[in-house]
Amino acid sequence: MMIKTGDMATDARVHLSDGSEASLSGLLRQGNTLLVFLRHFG
Amino acid sequence: MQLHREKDRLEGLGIKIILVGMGTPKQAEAFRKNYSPSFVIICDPRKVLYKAYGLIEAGITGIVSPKTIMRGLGALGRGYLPGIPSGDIFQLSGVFIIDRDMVVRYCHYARDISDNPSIDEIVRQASALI
Repeated sequence: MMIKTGDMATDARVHLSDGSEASLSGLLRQGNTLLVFLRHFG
Repeated sequence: MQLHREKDRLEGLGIKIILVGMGTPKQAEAFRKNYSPSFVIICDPRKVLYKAYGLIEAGITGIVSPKTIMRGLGALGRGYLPGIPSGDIFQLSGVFIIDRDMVVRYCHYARDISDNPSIDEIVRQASALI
C-alpha cells in the first residue's frame, strides 16, 4: 500500500551494510531523514 | 539523482540520508566508502522494505520507452553514467522525507526508471522541516 504525506512511516527490522541489524524507527527518530529507495548502487 | 554529489546541501539542513538498496552488503559498503561514508545503507535484497513502503515494479514500458530513453540520454549528456541494477531490474525507486516523529512529510513514487525528483525539489521539501 502506498504511503501518503502525513502518514506514519512504516517500521521494520533492517539489515545495514556493515552487517548489523537495526529498527528503522530507531534510525528515523535520530532526526529528519531522507529515505531513498534505489534501483542500484552507483 | 546523483545524491552523493549533493549530500552537503542536505546534510547542511540537518537531514540524515538513509539509502535502501537491493544489493549485497559488500556492494553497499563499497558504494558507501567510495561516495559517502556518512550515508546509512540498508540492504534489502528480498525487498521487504520496498514492499512495506508500497514501491512497485515497472512494466516493460517503465524501463524502455521514448521518455526513459530520452531522459537517459539527457543524463548521459550531463555526465551521469547509468548504474547497473542490483536485484530486481523491474523495481522502481522512491524518495521519502520523514521527520523525527516518523511522520512522512514528502513522498515520491517513481512511475518509470527515469522518474526521479530533482535535488532542488528535495532540498525545497527538506527546508520546510526547519
